[in-house]
Amino acid sequence: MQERGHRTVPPESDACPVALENLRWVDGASRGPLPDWAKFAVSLGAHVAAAHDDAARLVVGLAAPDRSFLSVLAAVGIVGAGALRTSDSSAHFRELCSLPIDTPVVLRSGNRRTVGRVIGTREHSGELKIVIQLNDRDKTRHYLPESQSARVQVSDDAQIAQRARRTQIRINETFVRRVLRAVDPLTFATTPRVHAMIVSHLSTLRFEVQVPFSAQVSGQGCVGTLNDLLGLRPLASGGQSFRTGVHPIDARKDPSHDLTDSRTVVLFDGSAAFLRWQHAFSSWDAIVVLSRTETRLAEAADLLNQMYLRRWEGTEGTLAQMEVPTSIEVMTYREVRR
Amino acid sequence: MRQYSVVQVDSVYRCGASCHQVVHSVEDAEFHTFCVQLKRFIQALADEASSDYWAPFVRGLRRYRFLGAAVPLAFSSPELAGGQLAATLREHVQRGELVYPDYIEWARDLLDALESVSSRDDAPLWDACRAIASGPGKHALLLNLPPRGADLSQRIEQSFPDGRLLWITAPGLRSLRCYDRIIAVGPLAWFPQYVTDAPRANEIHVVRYGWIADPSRDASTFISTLNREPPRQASPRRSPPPAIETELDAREIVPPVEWAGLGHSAADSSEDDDVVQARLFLLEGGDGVFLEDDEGSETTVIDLDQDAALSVRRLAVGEIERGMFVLLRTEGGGDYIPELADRLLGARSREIRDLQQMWKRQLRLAVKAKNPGTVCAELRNSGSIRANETNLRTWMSNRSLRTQHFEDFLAIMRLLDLSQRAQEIWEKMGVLRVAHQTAGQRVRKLLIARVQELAAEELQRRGRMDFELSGEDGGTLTAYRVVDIAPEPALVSSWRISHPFELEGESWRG
Repeated sequence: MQERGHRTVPPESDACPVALENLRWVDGASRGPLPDWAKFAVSLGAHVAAAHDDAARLVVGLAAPDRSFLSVLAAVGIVGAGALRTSDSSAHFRELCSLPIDTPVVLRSGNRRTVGRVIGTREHSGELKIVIQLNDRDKTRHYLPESQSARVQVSDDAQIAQRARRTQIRINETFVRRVLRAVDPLTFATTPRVHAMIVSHLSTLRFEVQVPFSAQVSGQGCVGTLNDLLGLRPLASGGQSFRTGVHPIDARKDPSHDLTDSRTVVLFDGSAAFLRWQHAFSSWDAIVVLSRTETRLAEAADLLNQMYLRRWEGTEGTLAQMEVPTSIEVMTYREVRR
Repeated sequence: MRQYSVVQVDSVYRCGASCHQVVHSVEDAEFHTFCVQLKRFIQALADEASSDYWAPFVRGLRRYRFLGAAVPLAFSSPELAGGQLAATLREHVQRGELVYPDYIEWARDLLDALESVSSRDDAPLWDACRAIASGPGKHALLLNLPPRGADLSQRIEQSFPDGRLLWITAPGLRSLRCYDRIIAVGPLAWFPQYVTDAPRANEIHVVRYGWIADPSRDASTFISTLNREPPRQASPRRSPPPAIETELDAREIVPPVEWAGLGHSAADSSEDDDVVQARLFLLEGGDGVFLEDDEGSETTVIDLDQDAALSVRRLAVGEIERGMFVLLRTEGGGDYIPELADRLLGARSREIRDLQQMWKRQLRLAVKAKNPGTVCAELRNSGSIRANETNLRTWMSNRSLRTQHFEDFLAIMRLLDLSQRAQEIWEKMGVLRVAHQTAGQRVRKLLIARVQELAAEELQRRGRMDFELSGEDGGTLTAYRVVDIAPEPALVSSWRISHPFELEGESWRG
């Protein structure tokens, strides 16, 4: 009997913002390192997020024997890359200083955060500072230099902006620190930026992001879930920020209100998600996850192939270094961003 | 809801990475001779093969040839029904003796061959499958058609009382369950591509007659792939091509669905005044059902590709896809919703149903006496805004309880000389509509609970399952997987709607 070849994915890449070597699956009392396909999904997400080009969007199609966990794992890579990018304090400070007056923001102090708004900028002793006025009774003002600007994030939720009360930041700090390289967990937890948008069934996502994983360092494990990293918007409550938007397959309206960042990567979780909603996300970088057992696979693959034929350029070079598990087929192309 | 772990998903990827295929060529000279003889006979008949006289003859023999190559049972098994077929076709041949003297002897030779084969109690396909399944582990016997009788299940139980051999059809391989060996009965061309492209076993054994040519298929999903050496189809091990001069192509053996014939037989209802537009659905296990296909017609489906909350829902008949499950009443027949609605209405149901039948019947008679165009014009003259032929068909149908707008309903009542009762009938039809909605919601709730309870995997594997609904709404419903959908609608008697029927007698494969 002849065995098929099986290439292995390198355990981790220096370029990957996710410490894949630390992340382990949990099944009852058992733990184990991530399988190759799971590492590939995370790395792919990080690659796509890092390969953003304002002029041309990147589209990656995957055909796998099953699509379970692929979208959420790819989203972890996207969120990890996004968090790394937004941790650039200089760029973040410049962005804050350019915000319109009265833009709602949240200010983090320790593990609590308070809602406020931007008043403007002031120069103190030759140093530029952003001025934030809290929505508390005393209307306290904070003057923050670039070095402290990571404590301020634009509020993504108008309802939160109305509230004056302070909220506690809920985050699995150890788990996040062990999984995401070079990311400050508290800043990460208070940065309300939609890095990834998943088009899927909500209950499927709800299940997959709540499956336990372990972040293991030096034999010590810390259990968490992918939602600790993804911060799925439908699961965010009590003023907690979110990093991953969800557009349900059966939604009746287009999802434009959720996408303000052109760097957001859209994940289509399955043929039905892609066929129904690809038109609404034609400007964004996208990963299309197809299962070979889906009834509408041929239809979705035909559409993706047609899109490939109309592409601007092939981009095999962008992801060519990635080792793809033998069971997964990958197609990639770029096209002019609409 | 389907729950799974990374470990389970990983087992699927492991199968994909290591799976190999082995082809087992089975030989049987007598069955082979019959199959080749039939091929030559059909070629000789050429266009005559589809004539009224020869079509049933050819259809019957093709069906036996297909089942003989697809079902791992004895040639004499009642499931193949070869002996009965030979007797029926002999009578048929006698009637054509004078008209087709050139072919009659040939046809008799074929029937002799059929009689001889179908009298044998040996089962070469089963013998090969059993030998492969004797190896250690859990194995799946992959069938093109689910067994209709208990013959196969009994054989499996006798040979493998420990339950390590399970029969499945291809959709059963869409779950995360993996086997040590999949034993596919018949050429791979008869199965969906995912059987080999997303394998759920470390070994796929193909058991087929050696004279069936099994063309290879393009394994790529995309026209350009990043992984340039897609290894999924890496040289599957196949036995050398059989040294038989007379091969048959795998696709040629599968009898096509003769939709036109089926539509014709079902539409034989010209004398019936209660005719509706419907579409024929082929169901797992060889049954069929007509579902009303007018605008607004819906039926209850289970879609295992959906979330639990959406998996059971009412869906427009035009939106039903292959692979979904339609839910039909199998005790008492028909759609379950009206029956439950009647129970909710209690004593009032009789009066309201009579009223419904009365105005629907009168409207159908009016349309029959005049014509749809004239009736629409009269309705518009009587104040209807939405009278057109499509809406008129919907209004005549029992599925539509009343019009959406009162002015259209009033116009119908005027046409039927019922204008004085228009308000009363409108209100009673409104009561019926509410009862239908309540019944629909109640059934859906019960079904969602049952679908969540049962292993979706089991439903997927078997392709057909009975649901006993507990409590006061108790009843038996059957979920059937949709195998195929007629490309065109047909006009059929309303009594046939939502009643599953056996297509075997109607020779659904040509």
